[in-house]
Amino acid sequence: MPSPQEKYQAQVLAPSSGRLRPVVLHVDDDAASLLMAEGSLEDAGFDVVHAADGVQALQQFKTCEPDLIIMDAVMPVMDGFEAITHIRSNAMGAHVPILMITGLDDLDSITRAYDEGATDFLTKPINFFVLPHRIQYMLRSKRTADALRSSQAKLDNAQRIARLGHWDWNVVTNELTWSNEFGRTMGYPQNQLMGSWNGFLEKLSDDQRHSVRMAASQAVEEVRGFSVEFTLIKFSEAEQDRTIRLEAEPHVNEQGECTHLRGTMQDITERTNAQRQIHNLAYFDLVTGLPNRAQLNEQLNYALKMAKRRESKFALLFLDLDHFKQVNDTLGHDAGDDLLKQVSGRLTEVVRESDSVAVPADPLDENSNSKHTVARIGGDEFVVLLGSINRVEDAARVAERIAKTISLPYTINDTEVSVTTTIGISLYPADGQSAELLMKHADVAMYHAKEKGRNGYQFYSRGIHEQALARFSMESELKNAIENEELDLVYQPKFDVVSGQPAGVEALLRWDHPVNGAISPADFIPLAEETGLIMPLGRWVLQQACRQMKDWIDDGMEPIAMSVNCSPVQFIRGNMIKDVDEAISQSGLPSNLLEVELTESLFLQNIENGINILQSLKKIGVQISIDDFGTGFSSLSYLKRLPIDKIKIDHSFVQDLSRDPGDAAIVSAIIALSHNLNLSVVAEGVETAEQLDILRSYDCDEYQGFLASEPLSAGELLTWFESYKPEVRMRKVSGM
Amino acid sequence: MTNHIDKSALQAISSLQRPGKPDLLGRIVDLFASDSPASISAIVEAVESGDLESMRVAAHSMKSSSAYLGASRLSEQCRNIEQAAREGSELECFALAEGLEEEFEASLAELMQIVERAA
Repeated sequence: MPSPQEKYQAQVLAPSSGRLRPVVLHVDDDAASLLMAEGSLEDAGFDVVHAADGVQALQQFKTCEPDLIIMDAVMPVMDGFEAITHIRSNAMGAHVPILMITGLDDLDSITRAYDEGATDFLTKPINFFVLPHRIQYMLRSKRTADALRSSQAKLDNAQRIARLGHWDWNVVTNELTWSNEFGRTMGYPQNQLMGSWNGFLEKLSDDQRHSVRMAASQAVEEVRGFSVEFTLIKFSEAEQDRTIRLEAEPHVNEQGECTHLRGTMQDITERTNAQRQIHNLAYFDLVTGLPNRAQLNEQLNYALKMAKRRESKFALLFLDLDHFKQVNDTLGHDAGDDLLKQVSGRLTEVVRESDSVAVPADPLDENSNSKHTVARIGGDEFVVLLGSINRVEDAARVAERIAKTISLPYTINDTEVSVTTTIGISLYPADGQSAELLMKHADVAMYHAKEKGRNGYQFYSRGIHEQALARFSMESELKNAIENEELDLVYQPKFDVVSGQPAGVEALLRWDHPVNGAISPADFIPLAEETGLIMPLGRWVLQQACRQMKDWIDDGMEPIAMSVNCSPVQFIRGNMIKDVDEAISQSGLPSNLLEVELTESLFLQNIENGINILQSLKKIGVQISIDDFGTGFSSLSYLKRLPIDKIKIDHSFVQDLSRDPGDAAIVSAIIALSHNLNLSVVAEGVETAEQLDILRSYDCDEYQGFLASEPLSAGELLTWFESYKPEVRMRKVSGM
Repeated sequence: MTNHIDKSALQAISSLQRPGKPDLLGRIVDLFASDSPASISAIVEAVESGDLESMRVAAHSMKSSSAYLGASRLSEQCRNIEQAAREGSELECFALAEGLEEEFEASLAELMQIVERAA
C-alpha cells in the first residue's frame, strides 16, 4: 500500500498519459550515482529508468517517454549537452523538464546546459534527499507551464476561429506588439510578434491609413477608447479584401497621460458579408432580383431628399401587367415567374437606356445623375423611379418605351405569350412631396390609365398629362418639320434712321404647322434648345439665310447685311464657328454681309469663354450684334470688352419711348454709350413715327419694325425693295 | 589508516537504504572496488603517456565516485588532476598523480573494512 504521501504525489504528478507514477530517466555514467538516486526517487513516487551515456539516453527517451530527465553533463560516448540538443530538437522532447548535473565548480557547464535547453541544474555531489523535492518542483512547474501553454493554444485557437487578434501600442516608444491572429491577418511573418505602429499603418492603403491614424491619435489625445473599421486590401490575388475592426482602450501613467493603447482587431468580413446577404434578402425580390418595396422606399426617400436639396424633378412610374393572372392560371406559376423575370429584364434594359434621355441637371455632379430604380412591389406590380428628369416629357418618353417593349412577345415553355402594361406617373414636386403621396398618386394615375384602355400611360395631373403630350408630340413633329418643309424663313428689313435707306434684313424662323397653323418661335425654340434639335435647326437657318442673300445680290439687289439669330446652346453644345464658316463658304456670301445676333445669356455662365467665341467669329469676318439689349443683365462695363459691332435695343424700351421718361433715358444712355464704344445701335419694334422721331433725336443708327415693314417672304421682299422709295417714306414721316 | 574515509558520507548512503532491498552501501562499495582500479590505472598510464584527455575523463569519474563514498582526499586529488588535465598542464598532472595509487589502495581497504564490519 502506498503511503498517504505517495498517494498524494502520485495524484499530483501523474502524467496526463494515464501513467500512475511519473517516469524519471536518470542518465549518468557513474553507476553508484544511479544506485543511490534510485531509492529515494522510487520512495518519492517515481519510476526510474537508467542510461549510462547520451546515446543510451536517447534510446530510453524514445521507448519510455519519461516525464523528466536527470542528465549528467560529462559522460563518455555522448555527453549530456549533446543529448539535450537531440532531445530538444524532437517535438516530443521540446517541453520535457531536464535537470542537468554538473560539477560544483564548473560554471561553464552550467551556462552551456541552459543554452542547450536544460530546465535546471544540480551540482555534484548530489544530495539525494533533496533530489526528489527538486524533481517534484520541476514537474509541478512543468504542469503549470503545460496548462499555460494549453491555455495559450486554446486562446490562440479561439482567436483564430473568431478572427480576433489583440495588440498593444506603446505610444511613447511607438512599439507595437501583437498576437498570432493579428500577425496572421496583417500578413506578418509567423514568428514576428512585434514591430512599430507606423510599420503597421504602412500596410494600409492611403485613405484607410489616414482614418485609423486619426482615430488612434485622437484617442491618445483625449484619453478615451476608439473603434474604427477599415478595409484591408488583399495581399495576393488569391485572397479577398477584408473588413477589419480595430477597438482599443487607453492605459494611463500616474500623470494621467495615455502611454498605451491596448485593444483587439477583428476580421469581420464574413459578418459584413452575412449582413449584406441579410440585407439582400430583406431588400430584394427573390424571383426577379429587383429591389423590393422596402428598398424602393429607401430609394424614394433618398430621391426626395436629393430633389428637395437640388430643387429638381423626378418621376415615379407605377406599372401593372395587364392580364398577368391569365398567364399564371393557364401556364402555371413557374411560367408566371419566368414571365416576371423576362419583364424585369426588359424593364431594367429600357430604364438603363433612358439614362441618356434624362440629362443630369449638373453634368459635373455625378450624383445628380440620380440612379433610376426598377422595383417589384407586388405580384405583377412594378415601380420605376426616374431619379432625375429635366422635363415631364422625359417621363412620358420612358413610359412609352416601356409600354412598347413590354408588349413585344415572350417565349415561355416554347409558347409565345403576350402581356401589356399600364403605367401611372406621378411627378415630384407637382404631384406630392412625400413618398406615400407620390406612390398613391402614381397608383391612382395607373387606374385612370386602365379606365382609358390598357397598354398606355397616364400622368396623375391632367394638366401635366396634356402638357406632356403636347410637348412630346411637338417634339417629334418638329423633327419632321424640316424634312416636310414646314419650316421657312421670313425676312424683316432694317433701315438707316437718317437716310431711310435699307440697311439690312433679319432672318426669322416660321413654322407653318399643317394642323395647328403658324407656331411662334417662342413656343418651339426653347423645346429645340432642350432637346438639342437647335443644332441642326440653327445650321439650316444659317445656310438658308446666307444662300438667300447671295441669291438676291445675284439678282441685282444692293448688298446689305443678313442678320441671323443664334442660340447660346449652339455655341455651348454645338460647333458654331464651324457652322458659320461652312454657311459662308457654301453660299459664297461675303462674310461681312452676315450678321450674327446673340443674346447676353451667352456671357452669363462664362464671360471669358464668350469672348473667345466672339473673337473666333470676328476672324471669319462676320458682324456681331447683341440682341434684346437691356432685357438681360446688361452690364455696360463688360460691353467694351466684347469684340462686337452692334447693339439692338429691345422693343420693350422702344414701345413706351414717348410715354415713359425712364425708358427714354435708358435708350438715350444706351445709344450714347454705344457710340462712345464705336458700336452702332439698332432699335427694334418701331411702330410709330413718333418713336422714330425720338430715336432720330438720340442719333440712333438703324431701326426695324412694323412702321417700315413687317417680316416678308423671300419673294415678297425683293419686290418690296424694288418698289420702295425712301423719299416717300421720309416725306410721310416728316409730314406727320 | 583510519583517516581516509569520511564516515558521515557512508552514513548518508546508508540512510538511503530501504528496508527489504539489497544492501545499498555494500553494492556501491562493490561497484567502487570493481570499477575504480581500471580508472586509477588509466590515470597513471595517461600520466606516463601524456594523454591528458583520457586522464581528465578518468579523473572526473574517480572524483565523483570517491566523493560519494567519503574518500575525500582521493576525490580531492582526482579533482586537482582533472583540473590540471583540462588546463593542459602535463607537468602538474605528473606531480599531482604522485601517491594516487597508494591513496586509492588505502581508501578502498578502509572502505572494505567498514563494510565488512557493518555486515
